Amino acid sequence: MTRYAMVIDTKKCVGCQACTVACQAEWGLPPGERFCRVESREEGKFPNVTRQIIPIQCMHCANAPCIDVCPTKASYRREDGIVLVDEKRCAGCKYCMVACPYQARVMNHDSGVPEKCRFCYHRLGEGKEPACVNTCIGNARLFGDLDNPDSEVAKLVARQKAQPLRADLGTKPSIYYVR
Amino acid sequence: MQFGWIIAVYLFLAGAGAGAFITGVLARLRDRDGRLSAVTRAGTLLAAPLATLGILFLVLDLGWVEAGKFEPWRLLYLYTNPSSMITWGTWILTFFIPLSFLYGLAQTGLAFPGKAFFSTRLAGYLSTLLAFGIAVYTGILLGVVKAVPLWNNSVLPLLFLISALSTGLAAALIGATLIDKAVSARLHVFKPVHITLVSSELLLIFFLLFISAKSSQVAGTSVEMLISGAYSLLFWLGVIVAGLALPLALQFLPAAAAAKTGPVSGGGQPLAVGKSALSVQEAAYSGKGLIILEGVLVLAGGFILRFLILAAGQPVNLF
Repeated sequence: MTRYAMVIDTKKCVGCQACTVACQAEWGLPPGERFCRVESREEGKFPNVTRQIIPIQCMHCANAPCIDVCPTKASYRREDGIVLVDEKRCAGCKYCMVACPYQARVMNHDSGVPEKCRFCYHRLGEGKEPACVNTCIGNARLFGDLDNPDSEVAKLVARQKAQPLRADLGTKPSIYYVR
Repeated sequence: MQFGWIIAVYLFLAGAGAGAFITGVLARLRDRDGRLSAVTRAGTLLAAPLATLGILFLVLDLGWVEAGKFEPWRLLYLYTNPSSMITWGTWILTFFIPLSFLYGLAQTGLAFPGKAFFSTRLAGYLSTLLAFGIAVYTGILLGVVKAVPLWNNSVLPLLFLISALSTGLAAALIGATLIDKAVSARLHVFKPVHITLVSSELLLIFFLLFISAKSSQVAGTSVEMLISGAYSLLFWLGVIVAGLALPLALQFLPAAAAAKTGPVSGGGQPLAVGKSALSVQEAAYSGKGLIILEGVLVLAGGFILRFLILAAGQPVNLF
């Protein structure tokens, strides 16, 4: 089987937001709408200060709250792990927006459908990587198949060098972070 | 949060509608001699219109409606996911609205098509069950959201239930007073219920805020917004003072006022003839006026509570 996952090495992330922009370009998003956001937080007291820079987008959770709460079953998960939205079914109730701990959903005001990162599923079939992975200037992003033991992502996750955000919430995200 | 004031209006109307129906049924159960029939009629007849108005607001908040599209078939898909509390609500309301309305009509003795085949008793049981469902499901809807610590607890559904019963009682009593001026003199039978509901609500709000504040940093932020931050004025004045403390105090007022007024015997008959007509009139007026005042305060407080619970909901920290 295929189990798509992403690993983001935050030590390599400079917060340039190229991933955000590449994604907007790839999907033709309206101005102001983004699937990926980069959050940062400063820690420590001067002069011992560090900054965490963490890109956040839909985690394509194996136990996705957005899928559980969606009354129309518009939100669903493919066999390969990618979580998508069937726009024909969506009633626009926004329960998914509220239920996502990662606040990954963004309302598309033209369609009335809360959208999010799609792991660029249309590029995967052509052997390409998601736009954000492709464009990252710091090579902070890796994408691959967890069920392929030779893939970089599988190796990093197996050696527990990468962890998801808020694993304690039980969402089983597909994006892992090296911090 | 993405659930805004429109959702707060819906939560309020649905809860009040459900509570009004339950009040109507309660009045019927305790009504030995038909003197509370106005409460039964008002409560059971108000439920469907309140709930329907609430749903209207809900529909206005939907994505495709906001986008200016006309795609009503999307509403049908709402019935399809049993793991979603919105699906539960959709089913419950679909049955509650017509059933409760027909039950209400039956209380007035008005004829409607198919009345001969209508089992008022069965409709009453089912509608009451569904009414409790409505009162509780909205709390569960928010309660299962692990992403928002302020909502993710066992207190919220209970608080919403009590709030629904309390606002429903207020709506039913206001309605009863408006359709039957004389009934206000008999509404003192609801005093124990009213006092219990308001006291419970105060206690539950205290539990919610106190426990939440300690449970996580984000929950603490939410609580701070309510008790000392941006929403503090609305919370203290709107929810606590106007919505709960004042109505509670007013429950004890007539007794205190009666104890204070001069020559009144144990039977409540004023001794001075000249004064008596005025006192009786005053009592009747203040009875009706008081009922409506208390009711409006409770309703306002109930709405503001739901609005603030939504507005103060903050998502969990991610790192």
